[in-house]
Amino acid sequence: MVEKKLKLTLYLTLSISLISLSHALFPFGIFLALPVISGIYLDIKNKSLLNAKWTTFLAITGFLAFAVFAIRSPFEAIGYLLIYLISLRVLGEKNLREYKQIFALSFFALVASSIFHYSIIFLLYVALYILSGSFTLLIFSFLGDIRGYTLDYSVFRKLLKFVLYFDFSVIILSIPLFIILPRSPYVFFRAPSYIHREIEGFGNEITIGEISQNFNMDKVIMRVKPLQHTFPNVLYIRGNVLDDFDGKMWKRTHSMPYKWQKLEKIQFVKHRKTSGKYEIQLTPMETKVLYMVDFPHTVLPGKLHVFKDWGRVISLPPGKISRITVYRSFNTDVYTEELDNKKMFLSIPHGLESVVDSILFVTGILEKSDIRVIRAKIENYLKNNFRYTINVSSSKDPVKDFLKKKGGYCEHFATLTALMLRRLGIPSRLVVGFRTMEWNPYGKYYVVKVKHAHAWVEYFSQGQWFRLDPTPQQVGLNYIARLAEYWDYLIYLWNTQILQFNYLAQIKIFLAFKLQLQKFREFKIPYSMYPVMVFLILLAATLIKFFPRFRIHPATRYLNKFEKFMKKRGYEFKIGETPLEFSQRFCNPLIQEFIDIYYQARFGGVNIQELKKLYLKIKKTF
Amino acid sequence: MKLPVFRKSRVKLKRWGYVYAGITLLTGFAAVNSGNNLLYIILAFLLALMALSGFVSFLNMAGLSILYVTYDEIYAKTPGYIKISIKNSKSFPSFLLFVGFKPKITDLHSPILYIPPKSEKNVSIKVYYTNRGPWELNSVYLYSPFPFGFTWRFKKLKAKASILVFPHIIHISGSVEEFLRAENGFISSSTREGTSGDFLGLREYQRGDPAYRIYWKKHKKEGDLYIKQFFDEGNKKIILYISENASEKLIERTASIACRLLEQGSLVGLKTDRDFIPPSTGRLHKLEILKTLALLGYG
Repeated sequence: MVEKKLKLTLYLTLSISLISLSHALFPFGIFLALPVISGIYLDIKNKSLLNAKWTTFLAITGFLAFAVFAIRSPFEAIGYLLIYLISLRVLGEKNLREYKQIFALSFFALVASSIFHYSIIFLLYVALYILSGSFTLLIFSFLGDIRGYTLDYSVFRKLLKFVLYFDFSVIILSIPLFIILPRSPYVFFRAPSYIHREIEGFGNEITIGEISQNFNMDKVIMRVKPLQHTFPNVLYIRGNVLDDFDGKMWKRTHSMPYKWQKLEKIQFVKHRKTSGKYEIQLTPMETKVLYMVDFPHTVLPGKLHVFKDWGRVISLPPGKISRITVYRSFNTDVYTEELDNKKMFLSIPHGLESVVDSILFVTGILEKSDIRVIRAKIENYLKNNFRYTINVSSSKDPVKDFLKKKGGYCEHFATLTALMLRRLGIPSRLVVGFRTMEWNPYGKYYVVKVKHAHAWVEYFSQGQWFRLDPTPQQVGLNYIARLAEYWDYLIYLWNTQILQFNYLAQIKIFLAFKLQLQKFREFKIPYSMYPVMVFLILLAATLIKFFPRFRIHPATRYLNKFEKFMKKRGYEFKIGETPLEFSQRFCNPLIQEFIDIYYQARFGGVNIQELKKLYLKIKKTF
Repeated sequence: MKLPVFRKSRVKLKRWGYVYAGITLLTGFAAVNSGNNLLYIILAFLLALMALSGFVSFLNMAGLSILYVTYDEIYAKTPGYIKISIKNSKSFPSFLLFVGFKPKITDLHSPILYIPPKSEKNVSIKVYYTNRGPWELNSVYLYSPFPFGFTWRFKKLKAKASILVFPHIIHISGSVEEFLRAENGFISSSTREGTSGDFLGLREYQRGDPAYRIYWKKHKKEGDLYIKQFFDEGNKKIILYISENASEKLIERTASIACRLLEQGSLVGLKTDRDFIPPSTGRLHKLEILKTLALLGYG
């Protein structure tokens, strides 16, 4: 008969690893875990559903079924098979050996869940598993090695206390171990991603006035860390560039390369205001595309180079878990280029020319005006006459609706601006991407979320593309709640320091350590300091020795006198005996009163004179 | 073959330990080849747990010493118990300790579950001696699977104690005379009448005899009064003689007879070539006789 205490701790451990695995294999993992819950319930009631023969039969058939499934998705199959085997073991007849098997299976479930996990929650699962698992191991050790023993509650409590201290030490020790464990630059088995929840990025077609509300608006897509001291309040990140507008939909018709190309005929222009280096860290396993800050000319790492007419993001290798997601986007300079197909960026849908002309007439913008004047006038016009709202219903003619209702969101503002610029003969295009103002002061990075998706305009002037964002900004630099900032910073650290820790980071740490060690070795104490050091050591030793004497409490002094006096009379304090115990040993009211007053004088603040009087009285009496 | 380090520290891996080491190696292999840092986290935890469990196991045994060894009566060829008091002088408690006399797992029934810091605990260990006489106890072995049952850790503790093993006692079910007769020996017994000894016979009632000794059944049948007669064993004074060169068998029998007679309430004395123990009764006297017999021939 296995003890209930063992069952409880074991099932707690099992639950943690199963939650971790089911979380990773959501939602099917949850359904598979349901028999485990019923098995646990039956076991607590000392009942079992399957005998040994049935368990073996079902295990073999299940194994074969999952082996077939494994041809398509091996890692997922392993996860499901583990849950299946655990449920069979829990539902079957059990002895101490079977409970040990359940424990081993629970560990494998935790390991399997690490294939699919990437979030910081996994660390919590592991920590809880270690806590509960080590306690279960301890109880196994007690019950397995003592014949015919039942675990006493007092011992159980002591073991629990021991485990808490022990696991705290385990967590502390595992930190340096995690850093020094050998890592290889070559990875042979990379787990593929079967959980299709990647963010696909922006498409090549965008219909104005249709916003998908099906996704979590607060989901973080990436975190962008500026690597220079100066950085803008508002950060723009490019997603896609669209050139053709048919009155309702923006399309991408120009070059659609799927590879990064090396450009040789680029003329870079120093553009200090917009220059900068940014480290972009995507949400692991969820973001499928690479986004770039503004007009990049270099992207690290690897063989990626900027590609002409930039605006299309690159897809990451499909079906692979993107654990390494940090890359750097450099846009120190802006390049000039020649526009090959100018007509493409000047076309206006039929029927909208007159509408745009009337607006241009209202704003007083002339075709020959300076570009800076045009910009200012467009921005002022839109700011003063239109309001920002996302409550826009889908319509056949979104531009006319926008002008009629005087309200819309970024796509409406950008579309109207692009049309106005095109009508003035300035090549322009729509850029979709992200505009963020969310700044994390602890990690010093921008947070880019789904809700930051945005559209703006780029116009071509003097051989360069310039950005023009006509949508009014809602707020300035947005400071999110402090706690949320801390949490986000923690996730940032988890992603950058833990998930992406590799042999290069290891080498960096070792080199830094070596340097520190070298500095320490080079540090020499001058000979003149030796006598001072000896003096200081002696002083410290003296202080340590005599310090308690200086700080002795007056009440304790009387107690010491009392102790000496009693010793002379033949009543010695026993080793480890407190004054109270000493007084209880004697049934003398005077001694008891003295000890009582001593405690009050020592801790309660009673006048020391009372204690002195009593001491003198005792001296006279005895 | 054990590794030298294991031989020195007396650590023996258990099956759980092998399983744990195997799982750790497997996780390590998977982590290195997949570059998955989450697996590295699990691996770091596993290694930390392994290292600390070794350290805790060492700490569990540290600061332990034998305070005293006591025992009651230990007879040769009969299981007996020795009480050992173990002191934990360190500031941490000790858990799950087994005690034995060899660096070998012998008894898994009576462990010390918990010794609080700076305190002591007693444990009784089953012993079995084949021969009588004085035995020296120089060391005691502690072994423990604490904390997780990955290893058995052994520790030798110094224990200076001498144990006196009494001769083996043969169970005598009947009277001593019968036993001696069976063994071709004899005992000279007095015919003095008593009340508690063996049945001697019947005699006619005499004036002054107590009424309770009348055999009423006989009186009913025959009409005359008869009195039951018994040997006076209760007050028998018996002096057992044994030579210094006596065989082990003889010593065992002498001790058995002495014990049986003392049980029956006789006054038993012992005479050897060197000593003489005057007839007496009581537990202390019995122990004195047994001690003399246990040391017979040891000089």
